Amino acid sequence: MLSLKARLISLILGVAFLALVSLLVRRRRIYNIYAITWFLFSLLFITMGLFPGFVETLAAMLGIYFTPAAILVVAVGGTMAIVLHLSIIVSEQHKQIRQFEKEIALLKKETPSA
Amino acid sequence: MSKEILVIIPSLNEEKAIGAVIDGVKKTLEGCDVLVMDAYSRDNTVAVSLAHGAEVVQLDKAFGIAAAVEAGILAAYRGNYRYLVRIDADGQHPPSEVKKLLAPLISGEADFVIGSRFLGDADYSPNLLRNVSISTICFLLRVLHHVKITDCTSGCQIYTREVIEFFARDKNFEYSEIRAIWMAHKAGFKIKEEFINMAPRLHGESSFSPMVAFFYMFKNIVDLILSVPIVLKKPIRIKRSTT
Repeated sequence: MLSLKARLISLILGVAFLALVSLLVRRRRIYNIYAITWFLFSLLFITMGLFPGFVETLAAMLGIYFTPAAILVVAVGGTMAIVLHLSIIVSEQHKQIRQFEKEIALLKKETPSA
Repeated sequence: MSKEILVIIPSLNEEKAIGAVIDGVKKTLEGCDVLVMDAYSRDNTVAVSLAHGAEVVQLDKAFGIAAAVEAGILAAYRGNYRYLVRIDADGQHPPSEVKKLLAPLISGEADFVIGSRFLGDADYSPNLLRNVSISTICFLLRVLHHVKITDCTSGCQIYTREVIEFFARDKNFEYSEIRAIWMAHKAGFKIKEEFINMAPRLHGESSFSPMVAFFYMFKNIVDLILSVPIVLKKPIRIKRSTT
C-alpha cells in the first residue's frame, strides 16, 4: 500500500515539474517538441499520486514487496526514456549541422583563376 | 547534357603529392573535372590544387573525410555527372590506373567499382594492425551483409550516376567506405573489385595515425553490427532507375 505521504509527494513533484516545464516552454527556454518527454514524465508522477492502484499493480507484476520502490522504477525508466529522446535530438542536430557545412562548403567553392 | 566524370580528392596537408595526383588524373581521364575536398590544410594544398587546375571545396576537419565525400557526392549529383571517382590525395593509387577501373562501369558490368590492393601484387602492404582490422571488417561484411570484398577500406571507389543519386537523395546518409559498400549492395547495385596498384607513401605522413585507425575500426565494427536488422526489417526502398 502506498501511504498518503508517498502519494502526496508524488503528486506535488508531478505538479511542480509540470509547472516548471510549462514555464520553460512559455519562456522559450525549451523548444516545445523537446518538452514532450518531460511533459509525459510529470504526467506519470501525477498519475501515480492520484491513482495508487497503478503503482501497486506494477509492484505486484515486478515482484517488488516494498510498493514505494516501484515509484523509483518508474522514475528511472522515465529518465532513460528522456535520455534516449535527447540522443535522438542530438543526432538530428548533428545531421543538420553537417548538412549546413556541406552546403556552405559547396557555396564557397574556389575555382582556378585562369 | 550531362557531364562525364567528376574526380573528388579528399585532402589534408598534401601539398607535395596532390599536384601529381591532379595532373595524373587529368591526363588519364580527358575532360574530367577535379574537385579537391580540403579540410583546411595548414600548408599550400589549396594553392597547389588551384594552380593545377582543380576546383577546391573546403570543409572543416571536425566533420571528417565523411562529410567531404558526401559533399562531393552532392556536387556530382547536382552537376549531373555520369561517374564519380573518389581517389586519395597521397598519390598511393597511381592515377593512370583509374581508367582501367572505369571500364566495368562503362560496359554496364557494375555500378560501383572498388580499387583493391589485395587482388594482385601491390607494392605497398599495410602493417599488421591495419591488415587485421581490414580483414575483420571484410569478414563482418561477408557474414552480416553478404557482400564479398577484399579491400573494404580502399580509398579508391567509383560510382555510376545511379549510385550517386542513391546516396545524394538519402538525407540520413553518412559516408564511410564500408557503409557505402553495404548500402549499395543492399540497394541492389552491382559491386566489382579491380586490382589497383598501391605505392608506398612518398611524401609526408598519413593523417591516419594508429589511434585514429583504431577508432575508425571500432566505429565501423559497431556500425556494422548495429546496422543488421534485428527488429522491424524494412524492405529495400530504393528502386533502381531504368536507363
